[in-house]
Amino acid sequence: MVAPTNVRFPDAVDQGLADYARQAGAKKSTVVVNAVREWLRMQTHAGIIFVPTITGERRAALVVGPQVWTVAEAWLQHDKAERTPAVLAETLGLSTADIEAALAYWADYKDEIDELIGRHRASQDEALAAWERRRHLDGV
Amino acid sequence: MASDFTRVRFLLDEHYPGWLAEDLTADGYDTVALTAHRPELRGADDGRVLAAAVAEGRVVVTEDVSTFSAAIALVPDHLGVVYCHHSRYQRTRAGLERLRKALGALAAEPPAGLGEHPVIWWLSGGPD
Repeated sequence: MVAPTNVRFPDAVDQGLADYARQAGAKKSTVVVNAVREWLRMQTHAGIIFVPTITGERRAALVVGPQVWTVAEAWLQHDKAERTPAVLAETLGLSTADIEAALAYWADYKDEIDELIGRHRASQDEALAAWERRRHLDGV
Repeated sequence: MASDFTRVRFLLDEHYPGWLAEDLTADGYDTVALTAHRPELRGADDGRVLAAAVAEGRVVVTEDVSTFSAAIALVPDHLGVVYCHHSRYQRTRAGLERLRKALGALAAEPPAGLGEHPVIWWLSGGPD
């Protein structure tokens, strides 16, 4: 359900918003909704920011660098006995606070992060198979 | 003789830890990790990362095939991208140690053109 909300932006903010929306090829309302959504998430998840990707997505990431889905995937790759923030922090070269921040975000937005992991794995499988098919031709 | 194997230099993408780059460098393979050693590139899109790697004469090592495929289209004159499959090199201590050995072996006997031309390479299973 969409709830209309009137917001009056100062002229400079409105102009900046219009410029950004034009450059992004998006509607101003879309930019505002996404910005507010991300801002709200950052208020409840300290240590998380949103970064643009070259494909046009915006993904949740730790302020110190790695994207949340990569921490989540590493968590899943560890045996259950080793799935602790301390072990993951040591392995990934991050602090336990960073690991906790990523896990907390994952817990709250599990579908989003799980979808990214699934998409990443499918992309890898397809790209590796295509590369191997091409390499096979070198031996023909 | 580590000095024999210094031609291929690596930039590890941001999902790899600084210690892995430091261990590879100690092994004689000039390597930096984005998160630990190039903080100015944290959160940058992969086109910028790949361009930075070119400027430093480095081959990028990454798992992120979807974004780097797009980056390669924008930076076609790169010096190489090495992909690591998630099932071959898990980001556990044991998996990253295997990756360290595999990257060392790759640097010691690189495929033709890696480090000089836009070669795309998938790291094989590597040594246990």
